Amino acid sequence: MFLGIIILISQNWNTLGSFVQILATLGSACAAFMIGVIFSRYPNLSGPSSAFFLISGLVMPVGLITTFDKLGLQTGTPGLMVLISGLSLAMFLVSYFIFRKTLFTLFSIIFGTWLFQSFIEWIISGNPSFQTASIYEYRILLTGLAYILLGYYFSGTAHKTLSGFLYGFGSLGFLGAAMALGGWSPNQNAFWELIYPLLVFGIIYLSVQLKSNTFLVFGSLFLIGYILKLTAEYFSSGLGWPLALVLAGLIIIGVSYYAVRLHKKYMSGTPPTPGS
Amino acid sequence: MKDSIKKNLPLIAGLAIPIIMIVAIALAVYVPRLFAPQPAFSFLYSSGDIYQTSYFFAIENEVLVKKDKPQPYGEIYYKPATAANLQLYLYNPAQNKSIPISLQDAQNLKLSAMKQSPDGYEVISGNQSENIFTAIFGGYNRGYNTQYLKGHNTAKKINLNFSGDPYNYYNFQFLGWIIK
Repeated sequence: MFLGIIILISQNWNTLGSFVQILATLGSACAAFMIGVIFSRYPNLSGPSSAFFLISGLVMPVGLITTFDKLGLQTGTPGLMVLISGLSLAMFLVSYFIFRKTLFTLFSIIFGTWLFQSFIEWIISGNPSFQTASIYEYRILLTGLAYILLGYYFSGTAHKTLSGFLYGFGSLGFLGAAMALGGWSPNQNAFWELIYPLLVFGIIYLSVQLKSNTFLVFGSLFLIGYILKLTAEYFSSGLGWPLALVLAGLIIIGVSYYAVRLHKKYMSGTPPTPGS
Repeated sequence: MKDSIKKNLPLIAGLAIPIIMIVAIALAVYVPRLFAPQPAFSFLYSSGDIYQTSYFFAIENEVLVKKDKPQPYGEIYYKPATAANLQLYLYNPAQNKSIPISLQDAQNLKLSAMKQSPDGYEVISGNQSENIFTAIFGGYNRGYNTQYLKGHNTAKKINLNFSGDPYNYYNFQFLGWIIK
């Protein structure tokens, strides 16, 4: 349904007047939200209710961007992105406190992430002192860390279905950013390159403690990636490279073997909850 | 109360991390400005499409000179576009604005061609900031065409006038600092 609306609107966009464009986007989002509210009153319509709330969440930012564009504001600026993400976050956060649906928590996290990234971009926008790759990497790193913490919190609440999503994206962002911060020889960052194994093994250790397959998978994959990175970085020239590749291959087999062993030994039973 | 905090500690930490980063970056951007000395030196620049003119400006012996482009210019035989001109501007940091200045008046100034001013500032372009982050989160504000006064751990956006297309990256040519 969402795809159908998007394709219909985009195919006829230029023929629509400004008011109709706003109605088609923001209006659709508001209508979908209202339908979701009405359906939520009937327990047997809980599923369709969530579907309409989902449509509302996906279309709402498009509607806000269209509206501000028609008002003559420059929509690509970080200031406006802060405003749009802030409005979307406020709407879905209030909706969560009223309806207590997991979907609203998910959208609050997504819009909150958008707001965080846009706010940082707004503060440093165009400033040559701060527009460096490291700033982006640190932003992703801390977003990933926040996701992991939120995933742990939600694992002990009624919204535990969000934990998998948060653990997955959290570990992806955290480990990916940490690897990027390590850099590449000869411009590598020694601190991040040396601490990276600790971070990866920390995630794998957490996978055992929290009985999380997501942590185990991503931790193992990033450990393998780290091994390959070191091999390519320091052993890709000279006669040592083939031998390094053989050694790396053996290590990767070992990592995979122990990952499967950890899964079989620990990934059963209920995970611990926060505060226990 | 303590039990509540302990139970909600991951939530508190997860929400606090982005807030702390925003505050830290805001402090890193704005606090050095409080301690940095005000830029004291004006600078001269020209504006116009430098690739469409038959001449350019340079500093020789602390004086502005107008020079014709040698032929061929670079690897191509240059055909001057006679309608294209460069306008000279003088930027005043105290007022944060620039005013046009004639060639004759500009040649009466004593100029330093050094990139850095005597008080430690230099004029640099902003970053284009065009990447997946700016595509999603905003920030594509044609940063290359925005000039900053960078120095003493700060970078402050400056208001400049341009002749022609203000979004043309080649529309700004820094010439020198006015050292009188």
